[in-house]
Amino acid sequence: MSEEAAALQELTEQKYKYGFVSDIESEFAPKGLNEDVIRFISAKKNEPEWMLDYRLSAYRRWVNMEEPSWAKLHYPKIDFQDAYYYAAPKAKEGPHTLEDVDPELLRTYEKLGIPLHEQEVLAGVEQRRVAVDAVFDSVSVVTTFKDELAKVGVIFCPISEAVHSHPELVKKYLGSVVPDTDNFYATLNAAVFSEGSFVYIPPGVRCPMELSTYFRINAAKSGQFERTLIIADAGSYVSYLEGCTAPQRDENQLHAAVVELIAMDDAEIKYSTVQNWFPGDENGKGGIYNFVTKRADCRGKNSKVSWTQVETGSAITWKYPSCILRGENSVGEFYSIAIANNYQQADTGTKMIHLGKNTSSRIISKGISAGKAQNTYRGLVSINARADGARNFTQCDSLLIGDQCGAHTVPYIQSKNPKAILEHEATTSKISDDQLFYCLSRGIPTEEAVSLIVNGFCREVLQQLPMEFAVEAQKLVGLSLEGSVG
Amino acid sequence: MTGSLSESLLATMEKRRGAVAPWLGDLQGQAQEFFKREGLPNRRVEAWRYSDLAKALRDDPLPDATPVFAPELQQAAVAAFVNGVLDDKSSYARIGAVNLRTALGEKDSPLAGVIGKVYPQADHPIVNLNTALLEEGLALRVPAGEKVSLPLHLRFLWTSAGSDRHLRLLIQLEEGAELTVYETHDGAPLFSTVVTEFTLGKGSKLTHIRQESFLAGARQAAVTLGEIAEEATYRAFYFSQGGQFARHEALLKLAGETAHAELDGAVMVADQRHCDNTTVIEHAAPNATSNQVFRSVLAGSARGVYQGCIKVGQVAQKTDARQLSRALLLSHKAEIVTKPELEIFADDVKCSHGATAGELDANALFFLRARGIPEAEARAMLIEAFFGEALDKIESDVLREAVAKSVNAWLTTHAGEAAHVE
Repeated sequence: MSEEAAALQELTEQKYKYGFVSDIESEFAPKGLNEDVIRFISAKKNEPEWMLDYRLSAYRRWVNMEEPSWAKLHYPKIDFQDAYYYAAPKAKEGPHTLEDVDPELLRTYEKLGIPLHEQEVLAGVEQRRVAVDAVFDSVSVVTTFKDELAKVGVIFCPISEAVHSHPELVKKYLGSVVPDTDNFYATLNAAVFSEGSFVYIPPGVRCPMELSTYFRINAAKSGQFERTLIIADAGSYVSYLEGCTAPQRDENQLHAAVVELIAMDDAEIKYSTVQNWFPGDENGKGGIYNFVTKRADCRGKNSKVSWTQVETGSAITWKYPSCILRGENSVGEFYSIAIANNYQQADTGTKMIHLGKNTSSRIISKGISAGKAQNTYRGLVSINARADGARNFTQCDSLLIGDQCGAHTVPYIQSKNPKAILEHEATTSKISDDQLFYCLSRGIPTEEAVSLIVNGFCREVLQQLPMEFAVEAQKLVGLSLEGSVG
Repeated sequence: MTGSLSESLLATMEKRRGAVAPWLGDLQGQAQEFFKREGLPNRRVEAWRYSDLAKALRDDPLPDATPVFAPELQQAAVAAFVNGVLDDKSSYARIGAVNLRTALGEKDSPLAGVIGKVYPQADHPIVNLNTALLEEGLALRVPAGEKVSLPLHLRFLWTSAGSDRHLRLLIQLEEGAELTVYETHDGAPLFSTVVTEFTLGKGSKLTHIRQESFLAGARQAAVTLGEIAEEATYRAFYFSQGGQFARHEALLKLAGETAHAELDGAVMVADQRHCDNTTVIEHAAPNATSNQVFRSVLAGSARGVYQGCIKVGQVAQKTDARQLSRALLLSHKAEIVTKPELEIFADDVKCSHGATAGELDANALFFLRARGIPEAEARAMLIEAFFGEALDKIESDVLREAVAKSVNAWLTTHAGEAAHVE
């Protein structure tokens, strides 16, 4: 084997380093899904009547829905009755402070490298701070910096808490972007969602720190169904980051989340994801099935939503973060890196729906396939007849490493407006011999050269991540491609 | 309505099974089974999402003017299909073409190994429908090394409304052979399908000019299936001004090394017309190349569809495949849908696609206006130039002029719409 091939192989055969299982006593809902389980979840969360009704009506609809099959994904039929829809770390009394949290759990987060402790902000050392909402299986464990955020009026709490503390906001916005009728997985989520973050930024407030949620599926045979709702009121700004990991298990676990973003006049939301669910082992055994519906509604004038995602995990990824550009001059952005290795399959992309005048969108998608993986970009850009002056630029590039993998591009481009300008370009290539040779001839070892090139390939997207996470993502994609393609 | 249409189509299929040639009965039976199961393609079928044939056939036909027919090409072998029936007085035999019906009916027909065997599409609704309803057509085999100097003019004339025919064309070019096919479609078929199957032997070359100048009420679904062997070239130019339903699919397989396919499309649609160009190019051998450029101008409340898929198999290393779609919208009611798809399983390839949609380049327009050219004229010039690049690639002067005439005729008719954006 040539040196280059060996380096590539090493890079692509990285083991999943978040594959540990935390031995924590969990409390489960009965296995399977029926109205009783939904009542159980609702009761566990102490939910008001209207919330239970919302869930039940979604469930009744879901029962009659069919799984979508249009994506370029192949997996055995999912038995939706063979999973636990609610798992919670067993707590005697709900944890109120970090001290109450099971130490095993804290160790888990330590292993994940998530700074839960507020004292992380060391005296004297100017460090950017991040408020974290950590979600473990179906329960939010701890949310940090809540008080400080409350001082400026920012609400950042688990959604189950928001249902009680801010029912008017939840009632008004929940399901207003992704209705419970939207699609199979969104409807399932509406019925069984158990956790997630709720963020409300009041008018004119620039959120003083990054908000972040870490999701981890821990318990066996359990699915995770989180629901995130972010509302940026007029003139506000928020940057939100989501990270995900799961233990290494040889059965497939289901993750079906819904994320709704609402941006009012002049508001801006930046949503970044570093998705690193367990991708399955090198033989394609195990791994998370990730079916996620993410959508942003740019309701206000001059509003802006920017999605950045680094997708390195999951056995199956089915995810299309979208923007409805309703407000005049609103802006939607989608920056994505999707890395698929071994037997991973990713079908991901975005939808940009231009409804308002002078709306603009930008799509930069970088797909990397290695091993026996299949990576598909699927996107829609649609320009309404009223969207005069709309502008879209799309670029999707695919990189193939090895000859057993596939890279596919399925863009839909629809325009009904002569005053709109759309540009779309896509390329597929492998790591160019010229580039590799250029690096080698300058004394850069093959392994380093490959990661340099891959990093350069993704640079436009990596640049979009908040600083703290750019480092993490670069570690994922970058130098050693650690954990990313493996 | 579709129900009854489907039923009547099924009844016709039953009658036609094995009618032209008994040995075709099995093939037709399978196609009929498919139709029974799947029915007419509609928007719930992904590949037909923007071109709902079932609905178009259900809708009342759009009113039509008297058809104008493209003149017969001088110095050519002509096969005229009048309302879907091959006119045996036309001169197709000059280059050795034969009536398909006769050829299929022969004992041990040499076409048995060809029909339905070229780049087989077991799940294609139109190919199946056409096979099940097959009656008329033309077959031509060009022997090895023969360079046919006369172009074959396939003239499809639909003189009366209410015609409903399903035609099949078989073209085989053996090693080193060369042929030019010029296809004209005029009038307004109530519903017709045309399926062309061609095979290109090693080093052969087929030039295919397709000119669709239907009336507004025309409803046609056409499919061109091609297998292109090593060193062979397929060079095509598709012109279409749409109809109530006008779809042409080019499904091509580059089966040998250094095979090449070059597709240019010019789409000019106005009023309530629909025009769909769908291409699938499968690279099934190393070093093959393909290049596609589709240009569309849309006025009125027309809908233009371009779906292009490039498939690169694992063996097809060193593939070079390009695809570009450019659309100009002239009205707020017109719509362009583009779906340029890549499906790639080989790593050492260069594949790209691009798509743009918008209006005429403001800078170019300003340049012309600054030189005293009135806006309407300047816009017409720019639209003409937009297609000019594609037209220039037609090698034969006669054919280039024939297509250019259609382009200019459209621009004259729709001068008002081209002059400003509604």
